[in-house]
Amino acid sequence: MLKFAIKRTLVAIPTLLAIITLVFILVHMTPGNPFDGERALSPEALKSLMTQYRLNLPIWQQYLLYLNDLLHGSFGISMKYLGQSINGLLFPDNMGGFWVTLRLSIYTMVIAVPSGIILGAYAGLHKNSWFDKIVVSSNIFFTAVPTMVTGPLAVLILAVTLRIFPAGGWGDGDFQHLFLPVLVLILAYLPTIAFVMRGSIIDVLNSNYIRTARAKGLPTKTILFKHAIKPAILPVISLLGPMFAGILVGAVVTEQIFTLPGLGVLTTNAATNRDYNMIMAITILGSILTIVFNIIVDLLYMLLDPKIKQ
Amino acid sequence: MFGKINTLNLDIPKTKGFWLSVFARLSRNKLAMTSGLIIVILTLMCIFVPMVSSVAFDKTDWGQIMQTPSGQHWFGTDSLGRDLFVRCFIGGRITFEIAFAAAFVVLLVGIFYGAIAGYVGGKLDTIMMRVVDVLYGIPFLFFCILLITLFGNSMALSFVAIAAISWLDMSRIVRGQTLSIKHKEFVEAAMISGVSNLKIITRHVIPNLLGVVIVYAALTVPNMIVMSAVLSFFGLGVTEPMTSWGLLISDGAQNMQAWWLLLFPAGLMIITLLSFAFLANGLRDALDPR
Repeated sequence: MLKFAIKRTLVAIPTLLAIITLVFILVHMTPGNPFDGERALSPEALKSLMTQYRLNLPIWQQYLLYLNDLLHGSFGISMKYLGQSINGLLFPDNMGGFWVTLRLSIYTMVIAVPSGIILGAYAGLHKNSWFDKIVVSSNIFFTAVPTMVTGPLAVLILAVTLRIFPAGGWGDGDFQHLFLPVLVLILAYLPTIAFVMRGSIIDVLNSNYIRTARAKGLPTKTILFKHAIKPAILPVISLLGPMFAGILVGAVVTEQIFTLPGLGVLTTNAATNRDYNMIMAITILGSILTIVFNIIVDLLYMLLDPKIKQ
Repeated sequence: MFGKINTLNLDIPKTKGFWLSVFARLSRNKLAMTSGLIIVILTLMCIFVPMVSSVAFDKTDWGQIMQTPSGQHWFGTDSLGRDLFVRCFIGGRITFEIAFAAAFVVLLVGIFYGAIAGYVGGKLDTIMMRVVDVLYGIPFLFFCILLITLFGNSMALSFVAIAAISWLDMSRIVRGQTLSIKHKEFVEAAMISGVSNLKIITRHVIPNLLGVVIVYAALTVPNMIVMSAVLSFFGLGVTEPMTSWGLLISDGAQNMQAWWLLLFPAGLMIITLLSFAFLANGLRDALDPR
């Protein structure tokens, strides 16, 4: 187990390094420097800026220094808010930045995954019931229609028309303010989880060893909880890896809809202000999270699947 | 001896062409056919509504600000007094243009990349697929925004950026399919009888890929629609006074008291996305009857 974990982590390092390199090259390949568009700078001021941002150094030195910064957990300094460290903007002491996005993503996962599994299993056990039909059709609907459409519609119905929830804002992270954004995110991912679980429990229940268990006369409850659930969950687990990247991005889009002060605002500001360092940092942070989460999912998969254990 | 071969030939039952039977199966699927029809109608409306309409999509009318839908303005007007009906369809035109162009690039790059990796195999395959793995590690939205920030914000560039990060799935699917086709008996037979690689690819591999590609194309177009719309939420891609469904929805989301500004573009987008989903489903069933 530990050996597998170490091996899996080591494999991820070159991938991460490749991503960082790619992003770095892309940013530094573009002609001109980020201070071109600013109000006319005096040559001295420009020179000191160039030194502060190391743009006067040869590119390979800049690259190595950037890697060194990253190793020490620093994303460098913002190009818009001159002199401010990006870490301070990404991970502020109060609620905001990455913490908002992270909280949205975690709430979504923690609610959507277990309830998706339960609802999907129930639908699979009652194939062709009205409940099953709801699961199947909501999967079609919410896979096709993204949060950026369902989000504003939810605001229009539940916040503006019925006035049950506030239309946006973080408040102090209370239930009232978080309900709608998390609901919209859950709606986007829960149906897929339920649908996959439904399909896999149907497959498992049709398999030979369950038929044998039935023939032996085991009670349905034992069959379900001792033999069917574990293998049926595996496809859901392998779904979670790619899904997490989706939820992260979905959370950022949801922030835009509900005007929450998360990574979304930072991204938009960085894009309009051409704050290269900031976008680089957000892209790399997103990649690190995606990769780390994929490692966790792989480990979880290994714990549950006896075939990989050896 | 020749006679024997002739009788053998005569014994082979006349089968309907593969594509004919696919079309026959598809045309029996009412949901898929209706969806296809809706897509065609919407596309035609996007082309012709702005052309024949008496008001231009960017004509502002200060006397007609925020009008509710009426006989004169079917979808109402926005905060600048522009007719929402025309704007919805010019926006649809732009959205479809970006989506189809991006989907075309995605298919082209994905097919070539996947087919080469799968057919050549060996080290090249490993390297090419490692590249795909690496790109998969980057959350697409951030990468897309990075590309647009670096290379400037324009409609053309936004579709290039969207395409640049969306060909990964296609290349994986095509590679897998190519690998399995490569080891089929008829390809091995062709190889042994000395048919050139190029001819094998064009005669055997690509025609057999076509089914997967068609289904995936029907899934890629709505994906591209969503992506370009998401970018609009971040103020990237299409800019005013030109518009797109994403921009209209994001505009409507900021003017909630005028429900029509959100409901009409969102409704059009939902109809379109669902139609593509049902069409793709129908195509998959028709191509792979199991």
